[in-house]
Parts: sequence; structure tokens; C-alpha cells
Amino acid sequence: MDSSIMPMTALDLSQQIKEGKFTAIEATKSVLNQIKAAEKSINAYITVCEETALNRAVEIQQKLEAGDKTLLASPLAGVPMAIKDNICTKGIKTSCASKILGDFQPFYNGTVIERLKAAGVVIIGKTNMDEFAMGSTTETSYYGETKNPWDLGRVPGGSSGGSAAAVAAGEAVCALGSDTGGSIRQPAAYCGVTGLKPTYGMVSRYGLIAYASSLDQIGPIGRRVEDCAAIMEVISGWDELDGTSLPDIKSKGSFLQAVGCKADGSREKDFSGELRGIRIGIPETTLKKGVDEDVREALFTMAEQLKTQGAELCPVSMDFLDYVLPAYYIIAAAEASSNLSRFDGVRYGYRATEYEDLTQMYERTRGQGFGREVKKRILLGTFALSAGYYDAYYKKALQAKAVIKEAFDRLFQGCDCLLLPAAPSTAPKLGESLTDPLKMYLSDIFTVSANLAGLPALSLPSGFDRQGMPIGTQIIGPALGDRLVLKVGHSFQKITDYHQKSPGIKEDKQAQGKGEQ
Amino acid sequence: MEITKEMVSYTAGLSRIHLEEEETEEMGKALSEFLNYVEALNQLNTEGVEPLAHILLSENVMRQDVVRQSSTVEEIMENIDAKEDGMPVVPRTID
Repeated sequence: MDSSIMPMTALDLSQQIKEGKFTAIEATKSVLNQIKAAEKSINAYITVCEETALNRAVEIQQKLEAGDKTLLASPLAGVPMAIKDNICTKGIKTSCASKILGDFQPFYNGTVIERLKAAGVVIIGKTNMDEFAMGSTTETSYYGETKNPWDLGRVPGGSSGGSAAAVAAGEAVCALGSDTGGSIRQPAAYCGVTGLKPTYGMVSRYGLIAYASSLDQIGPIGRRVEDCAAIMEVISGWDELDGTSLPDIKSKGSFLQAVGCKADGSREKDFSGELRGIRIGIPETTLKKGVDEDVREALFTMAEQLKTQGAELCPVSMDFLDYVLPAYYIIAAAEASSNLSRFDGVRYGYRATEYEDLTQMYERTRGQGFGREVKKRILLGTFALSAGYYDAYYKKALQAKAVIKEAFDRLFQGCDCLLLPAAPSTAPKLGESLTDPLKMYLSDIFTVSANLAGLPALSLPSGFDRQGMPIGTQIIGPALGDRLVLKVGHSFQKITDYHQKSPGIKEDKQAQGKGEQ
Repeated sequence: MEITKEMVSYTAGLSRIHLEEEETEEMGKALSEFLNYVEALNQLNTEGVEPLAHILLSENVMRQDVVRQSSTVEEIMENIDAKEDGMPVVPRTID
């Protein structure tokens, strides 16, 4: 049973649970078994909630058998899912992979968690990440690094490295991550899975422990685009508790419909995935330098494959790319320095043991509780916001952001979406990035602009390099173009099988067949 | 731009972060390196460009000012080790 559930997509699994071919309990047990088998080598999780997950699965199964209409109509009923450990889960330790949060157990659920629960999802555990999502490798976690399931000597990417690795290793059917500068898309690419950063405001951030509030966005990671669409269908939409959530997005159409599925997750029979009339931008000159040959080739091959589906390719220019990283890191650090001031050792988490007065308690708690990268970014942000430097750094970065947004506006006058690598290379070896942080920052060059401009961006498997490591390519759309990027991505997955390859279970043909329609 | 040890200590003080001696030195180097790296932004002409904070929302969001229960004191106190009579304990703040 285990091997037949593991490579299944969330949509297929939920359909089969609803049809009675599996039970929600079997699905959860299967994933828990895989966690037991793989976790020692992968370390994708900070917390695994075995007991609550099993109880929850029993409850869902009973409701399904009793004919619960809400659950029978849900595309994700009974699906075991992993949650990045910066999203608040009531009664389940939420650590942001930091010492400073200690064993903090939130007393409320983030909005996305409430919505997933209502849709009958089983939360299997909380995944590892870079501390406070600050990093691109999951190596800055207080709980140890996560390893890439494709090569245990390499990083899974980050900061949602635990979520991406868990999905790739079959330790979860799908997952939630968060993306501030590429933290969903880059690990998805490194681990050979699919991840979406939605348009800013599409998904409520209530309950997401903030890193850089103007850039943070929660999004799905799955084995294929359809699963990401299903998760979006459930978690997206206006939320009174998040002042930046967008009103009225549901009326603009369904995410599942964009990938040829009905609201309950079953597939429309005659969905062709045709892309006639869609213009896809290819930034050829941007790709000439600083990108591995295999990564570049994968993008061009993908473009040709999309052409066979009817899409039209057109050259675009992204001459603003030199400015995106400096602007991003200044804005992110500035917002982080403000957001992370709440960690003071008073109301939750770690508190230093020796201090003489209140200020010393704050300083020692924060000095001991935060890791090196977090302290660095807080200092950077504090510096960039301090008197005398504000105009030179923070204001300049916000002006650059305006320039970048306008450049995207012009770019999308000539095309409907564009292709970009998810990262300039495939997953680096463990330890490599820690010695040269500026090099680590460079791995975000192709992802951060979507955050600065608030755009939807989907990363999906598009090939393998000569070492056999997965390559990811992004489809970036204009604001609110989430359905379009999902549609284009799904069309690509209909004619390719990169997304069906998985580490260690490559030969499981029979089960893969089940995953297909 | 060169960040001196004094600048690091001052910024760390503003951030309420205690740094060990060797950390101060390390952070100074990292900050200098980073600030040199972001110099690239100066190549970008932003004259007359309005700083952009929010991409999509152009108006402020309002809601009814209705009182409702969020969490109970007991729930909130669960996460606090140093507490007394339903309040967190901190060092004396006023002499």
C-alpha cells in the first residue's frame, strides 16, 4: 500500500479516498511510515504530529463515510500535508527554526490552516526552514540542515527547504511554504517539485510569522501544478484579519478550472491544455551570463515545448535585473528589523538566564536566541533605517522597487507571461553557501523580482543537469495572473514527465501510472 | 562604505542585540561587504521616482470597531515560563 500512495498527487489521492479505494487513515499512516523511513537522512521536519494526524484522519474518514457534503466536495479531503514551521498552528509547536521561539505553541491557527482544516486536510507536521526564512539553503535552521532527497550531500534550497524536501521524498503529499524572495520556488526547483508564489495579497498572511511583510506570501508546494491549483482554491481569498489581502479575487475564476479540474478536484474530460494566443516572453540576453548551461538549455527546451501547445514566443528584455538583489535585501532587512523586534523573551520562547536589568534581558535574549544570519539582517535593516542613512538605502530601495514594477508593467504589454530560471544553477553542496553569503544571495537573482513587484510565479521541474539534479523553470505572470501561470504550467506537465520523476522511486512505473489520468 | 566597530555596537544597541567581541568584528565585516554590494543601486537613476511601498492596494482598509474575544489570558500565559498572578515577570523597569 505504501508504495502505491507515495507517488500519488493530492488530487488523485483525495479522489480515491472519496471513492473508497483508500481510507484517509491509510493515507496518513503511509506518509507517517515514509517519514519514519526517510527522516533520519533528510531531516525535513522539525515536528511530526503523529497522534493528532491519525486522530484527525479517523475523524475525516468517519465524516466521509457519513456523507459529509463539505468534505465530499473538497479537492483535498483526507490529504496529508506538511506546513512550514513559520505558520501558526494551534497547539502545535511553531518555531521558525529559531532558538528564540523555544517550544512556542500558538493559541490560534493561521487563516490558511483554518481553511485547510475545513477542506479536510490532515496536517502531518511542521517543516524545517532557514531561521525566520532568512536563507536560501535551509542551513541556518537551529534544528540542523535539511538534505536534498536527490543527493544527500546537497542542500534542498530554502528557505522552505523542509517543505520541498518532504514532498520530494514522499514524506508529505503536498505542503505549504512561504516565499519572501524565492523561498518556495527555489527549493521546489532544487528538489524537483512544483511550487507557486501567488500574487501578493492572494493568500492571507494572518498567522504567518512575518519576515518582510511587504514581500511575504504563503503558497503551495506539490508534485504537480494541479495540486498547487487545488491548494490555492482552498487557501486563497480575502481575509478580514489581513489588511493586505485582496478583496474579491474568487469572482475572477477558479484555480482548479484553469488546470482543467472541477471544484471537487475531478478532471474535466476534454481539457486539452492548448495555449493558442498566449504570448510567452523569453529574456534571451538575460540568460547569456551567470546561468549554468544546463539550466539555460532546460528553459529553451521548455519554451519550444510550450510552442507545440500553441503558445507564441517573444523576446523580452529585463535590464533591471542588476538592481533587484540590492533593493530586495535592503527592503527585506529593514522590514525584518522591525518585525523581529517582538522577540524579546517576555511573552514566549527563550529568555536569557543571566541579566541585571530589562535592557540587558532583551539584549542577551536576542543575542543568544537569534542565529548569525538573522542578527546580521536585523543589524543591516536597523542601519538602513537609521537617521542619516534612510534616504541612501531604504528610500532608494523603494524607488528601485517602483522602477522594477514599471519595467514589469511595460514587459507585460508585450507578452502574457515570461519564463525565467528558478535559480542560476541546481542545488549546491552542503556548506558551500555558508562560506560565501553574497554567492548565496545570488541564487535568488531570478526569484526576488516577482516579490518586489508582487507577481505570481510558478516554479516547475523542467529537466535534469548532467549530475542528475533537478532543474526548475519559473513562469511569471502579471499581478492576478495566477490562473494563467497555473494553466501554462499544467499544459507543460501534460506533455512532459519531469514532474513524475522522484528520487529513489524512479522505477515505480505502476504507481506512476496511477498518478496519471 | 566602511563600518567601524563603534557603528556596529551602536546599531546592535538600537537593535537590542548583545554581540560578543568577535561577533562585533565579524558583523562589521559582513555589513561593510553588504553595503558595498548594494552600492550598485546608485547606478540606477531614480530622480523624481516616488518610493513604492504597496503594489496593489491603493486605499486603506477599514473594519467595524467591534469588540470580540480573541484569546484568553490562560491561553496566552501558557507560553510564558516567568509569570505571577496571570502576568509575565520582568526585571524592575522603574526605580
